[in-house]
Amino acid sequence: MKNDFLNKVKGAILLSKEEAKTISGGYDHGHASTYSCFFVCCPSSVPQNYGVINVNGCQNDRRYKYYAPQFASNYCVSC
Amino acid sequence: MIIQSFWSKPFLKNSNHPNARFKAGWLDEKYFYYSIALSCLKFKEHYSEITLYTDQHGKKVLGDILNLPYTEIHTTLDDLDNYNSNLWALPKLHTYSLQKQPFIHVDTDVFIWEKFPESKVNSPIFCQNIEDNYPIYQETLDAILKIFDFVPTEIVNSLYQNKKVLAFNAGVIGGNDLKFYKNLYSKALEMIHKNEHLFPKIDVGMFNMIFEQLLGHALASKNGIGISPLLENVDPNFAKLTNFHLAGFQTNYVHAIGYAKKSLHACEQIEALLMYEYPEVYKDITQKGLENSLWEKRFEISERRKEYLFTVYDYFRTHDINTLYNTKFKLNPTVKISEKDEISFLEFNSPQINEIEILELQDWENLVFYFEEAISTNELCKQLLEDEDIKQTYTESQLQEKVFSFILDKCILQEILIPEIFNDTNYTKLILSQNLTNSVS
Repeated sequence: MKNDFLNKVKGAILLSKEEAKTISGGYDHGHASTYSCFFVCCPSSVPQNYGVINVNGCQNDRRYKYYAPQFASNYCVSC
Repeated sequence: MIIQSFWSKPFLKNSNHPNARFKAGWLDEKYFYYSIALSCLKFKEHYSEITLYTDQHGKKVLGDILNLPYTEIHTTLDDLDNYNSNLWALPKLHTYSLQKQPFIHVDTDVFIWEKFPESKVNSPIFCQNIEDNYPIYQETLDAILKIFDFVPTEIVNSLYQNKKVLAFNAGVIGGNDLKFYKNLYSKALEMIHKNEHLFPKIDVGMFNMIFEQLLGHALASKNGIGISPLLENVDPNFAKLTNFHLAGFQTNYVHAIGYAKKSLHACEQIEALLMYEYPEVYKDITQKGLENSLWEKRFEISERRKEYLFTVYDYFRTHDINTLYNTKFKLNPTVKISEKDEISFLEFNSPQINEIEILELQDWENLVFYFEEAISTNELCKQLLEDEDIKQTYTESQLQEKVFSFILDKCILQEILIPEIFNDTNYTKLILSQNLTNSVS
């Protein structure tokens, strides 16, 4: 039974997600969440081999997006 | 020298806009007053002198009525009365520019449990953290670059040179380059005056971050002035700044930044910490605040909740970390777990509002299943580290820190996990009798 829980937790742990927190900060929750199509530019350290990822609300954004777990959105783009 | 500022104009102007500062951005007025009181007291404890820059209204309320223990109160912000009330960062810049000796300006939602490192403070510019390409700037910056009549060249230089948006967070800010702060105020005023007619076309609330934090960073870069951040690697959600559940023992710096001010959990902790650390001041402020109708009586902390919080605060602050890692925690006996369509739900009684809340267990939250039997941080980490993937991702101490933070969040903020420090029978009886009373009434 505990293996099931472990598997559910493992994804979060391995992706280096923050431990679940009841309080979080940020400048403006609503504002940030409605602007889901902005991604930061990838620093050179991010391996650019993850390909294109379709993200909801970003159909018109044709830039390549790369998986970069150090960013809040988990993705960055080549600029 | 520690300084704070409070401009009453945005505080008093009714607005639902998330980037305005009605009630200073807090869930309720009373939390602004408890926050500024706790912040002032914590800094006074470590630095002995603290000066407030405000206006006549601020002096009357914070000084004359609530008698907050500032060393001095200046009413210099009356000079800004003709400015748009959404320009809530302008009084901060105005205050920095008035300084005649090295200073540290701290927002009234920042709390410390130790002094800042001297090596950081004694620098030309000292700030909370560097904001490296935070998404929140993008929309307003785009609008400003498209429509403003005047944008300081420092901003354009920085964007082109760095190919990303760099800013500093001014939750705490200061240093010894007083000329820089005079220059920053002057540049910000120029940017405001030359574009004021375009304010209806932009989010003025967000513009504050541009003319204070982004312009500040760009101006420092252009002039080759070193910036010394208090904290490194802060994510845009500022999760590591809002660790109220670790305040005073594992975390010595907390900032109720942004929408943390709307969180009842954060607000409750500020009130509880003021009540716990400065009981006489809390009592005095509460009495004066209510007598003078500064806020209405609501969101009260119950006696049972107070007893629980003070017991856990006492325990966590008087035991070393090894003892805390070996302290066992168990699921609150009143919690119910259910499952639907392979998703687990946890039903618990919210200690803040005394109503049943349902939490969908996602990711880390599935750890609560391990607490059906009492288990400590060390025991849980040992089990998790038996998994090869986890072992390769974290060292033992990294995992301990995260798991402990998770446990205390669920212990202090939600009473889902209960430490085995109570006389279990009595605590259970207390919880159950309280719940029964609530459901009957």
